[in-house]
Amino acid sequence: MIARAGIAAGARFISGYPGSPSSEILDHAQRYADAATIQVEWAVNEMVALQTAAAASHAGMRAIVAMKHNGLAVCLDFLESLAYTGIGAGLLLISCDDTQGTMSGTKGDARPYARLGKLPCIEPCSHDQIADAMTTGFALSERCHIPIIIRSTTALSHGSAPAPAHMHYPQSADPPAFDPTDRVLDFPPMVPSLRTDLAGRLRQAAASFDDAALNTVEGSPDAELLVVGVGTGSLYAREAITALGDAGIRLVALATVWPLPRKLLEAAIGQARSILVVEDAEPFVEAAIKEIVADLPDPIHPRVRGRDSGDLPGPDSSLCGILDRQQVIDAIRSVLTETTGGSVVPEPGAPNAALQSLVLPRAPALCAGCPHRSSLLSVQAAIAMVGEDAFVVGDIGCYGLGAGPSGYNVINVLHNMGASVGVALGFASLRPLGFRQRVLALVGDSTILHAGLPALVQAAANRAPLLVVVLDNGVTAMTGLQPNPATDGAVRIEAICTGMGIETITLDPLDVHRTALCLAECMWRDEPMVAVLRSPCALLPTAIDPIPFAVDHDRCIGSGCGCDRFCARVLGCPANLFDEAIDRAYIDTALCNGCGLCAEFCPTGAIAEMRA
Amino acid sequence: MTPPLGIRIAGVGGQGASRAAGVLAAAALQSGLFPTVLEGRGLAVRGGAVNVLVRLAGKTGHAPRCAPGDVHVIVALEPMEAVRAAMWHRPDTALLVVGTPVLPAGVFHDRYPVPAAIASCLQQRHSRSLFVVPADCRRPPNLFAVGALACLGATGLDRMVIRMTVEREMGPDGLADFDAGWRDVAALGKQDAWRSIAEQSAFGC
Repeated sequence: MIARAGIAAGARFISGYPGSPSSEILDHAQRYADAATIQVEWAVNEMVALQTAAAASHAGMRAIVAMKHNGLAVCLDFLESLAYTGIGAGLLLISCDDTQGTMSGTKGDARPYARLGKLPCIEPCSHDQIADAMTTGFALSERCHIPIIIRSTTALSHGSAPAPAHMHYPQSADPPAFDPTDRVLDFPPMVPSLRTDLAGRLRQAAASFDDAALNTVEGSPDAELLVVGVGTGSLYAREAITALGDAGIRLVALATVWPLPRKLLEAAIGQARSILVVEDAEPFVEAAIKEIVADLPDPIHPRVRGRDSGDLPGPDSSLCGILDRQQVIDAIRSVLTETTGGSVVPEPGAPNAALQSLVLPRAPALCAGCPHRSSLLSVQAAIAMVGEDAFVVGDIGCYGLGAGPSGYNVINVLHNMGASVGVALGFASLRPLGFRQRVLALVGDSTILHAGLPALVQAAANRAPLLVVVLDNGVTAMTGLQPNPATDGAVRIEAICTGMGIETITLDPLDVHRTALCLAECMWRDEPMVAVLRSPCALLPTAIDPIPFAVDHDRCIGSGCGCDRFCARVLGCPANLFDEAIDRAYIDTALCNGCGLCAEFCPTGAIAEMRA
Repeated sequence: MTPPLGIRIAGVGGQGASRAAGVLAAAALQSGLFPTVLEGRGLAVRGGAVNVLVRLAGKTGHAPRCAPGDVHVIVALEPMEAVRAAMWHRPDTALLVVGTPVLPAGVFHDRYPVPAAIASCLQQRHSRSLFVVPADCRRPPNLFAVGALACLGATGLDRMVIRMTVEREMGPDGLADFDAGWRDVAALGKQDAWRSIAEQSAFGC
């Protein structure tokens, strides 16, 4: 929906870096875009995505850059600079906030970044409004010469609803061009005047938001309770007000979330004695409305409530970031009855006890035939061989499952994209102070290019003693198999690393014994080393020969094996199963990808390829 | 005023919960309703627990997410996922459980609860519950579940509209799964047994 609406609104350059819940935007844009008039491309990281989109804007093309909320932090430096210089054609930055943090390392909220970066922010109230938000965003971006952040929460990004029928896609356009005399300079002597100019453009945006058709006010001006539903929060608020039979409540459905439309809100407050702010994630608008209320003339000083006051689950609650109709009903009731503080929404922790006792955890697992499984086994074995409290620093990607049971709990320290190399380098750099432990950094092909290279350059320059293991499966797999610069060998990771002067070896992760020995040997070196473990993602059609394996039940000795059911339990491959009734292991041939890892470890040699 | 009809589809990543939700939403759209779908993605696709919320409304303007109390039917594609979903919901939520156990990675068979014990526990709590196991366990259970749900009448959607949607979007194999689900529930004498759910919801109108 976001991709279609963006193209319909005139976007001709669309860039981004994959990450849930934003990946689908470019995937869909590639489907709808006419390659002759619209360029869609995955960038190496969010910063580069924004920089290329900025260039498109300077060249007169409306541009969109899409990312998850973590990416917004990655590109904030350039974003601030871009706000100062201004832009050419309209530029929209779509931040898809994972407000629950179910697919991220943090809960996401783009709005504080909008305030920090001095950029207007629009948060569509519904799927119906996405198309208008994109059109309004581009128009405002061009009028104020400033990028606009479009905030999409999980309910929009991973929700779907019928699309408006009036979207039409532009068929032709002029070629892009940049006028070199129209200089774009964020140059220190100019900064004071650029900042003054930016303040004026932000005031212009704020004035525009006061009249924006995206914001709506419903209900009587005499209402004693004003509910401000922010973005999709307005949907929950409207459902709750309807369920309560109106009850004399006024609703502002607020889509322009920074700067706030001060005049609109002051007018909407009217005679209200209380204001309830319903918003996804942090109490950002609640705090900003408190600032507005503080400036109101006496005696109009309604009490502002929401997540910060505890009427809705606040930042100290695991439910902060989740909204539903019942939460808002409870919050409205508590405000109307003047109950103070204390969310009435029960914390998760009150499920039916009898049922809960039956539930086993179902952690995400690596796919059948995933080469990361072999790699993580090799790393585990190498660490055991090295001993001396050697440890692994990881980061995120499919291999991040190495922090859990399906990845043998191999990873000891885990942070964000590309952090493994920098953090491991930090540990290795402590050696002059007496730090003696060996460190292994685990990073993916997409991730090392995204954010790992600067730390690797520093490791090369400092000759820091660490081993960087690059798990190269040829694709950005976790987010939906998007290509990256190393896909199909367009960029050779080995060439980059050897160019830095780092000794680099390439290994086949499916050969676990050799890989483990090589990794252990590399860890003993007192200099930086890179090991590229290359094998294609098992989900790619070009992956390993899919001849499935099978268990010979005459050779399998079941629970008498003494291996603690290595194949069916410890290995963690979804294709390896165990039949209690006959006390034998078996393989689900529909899932088996033929990697042969289980066969390599079967103590009785009972597992073999199913050749005719 | 009642909230929209809420359906929660619970399963394991890879079983096709999102696809089942998409089929129901497309059929609802075809029927003149305003559906929303909210998917759980990200880590879920790697064999983790998956939940998808479908809301069917007679008018636009409802939120994709709904509270546990606003879910009328849970469709579970795996027994333990039925339990994981049901434990947050009220006992008057209807429960359709389809499919056979899918063991979590690293879990022994003997640690997985006996499916009959799961069924017994859920049936004691949920007066309106039905357990159906597809004859062909090698097929994903998602469209079998859609067929079973359609036969129960819980969605209020016309059977032929759903069937045509399945055929259009999922081809002959999907249609065979849908028909099997319908047939198995009809054989139990449960055709339209849950129609009152859709009637009472009235799609929030």
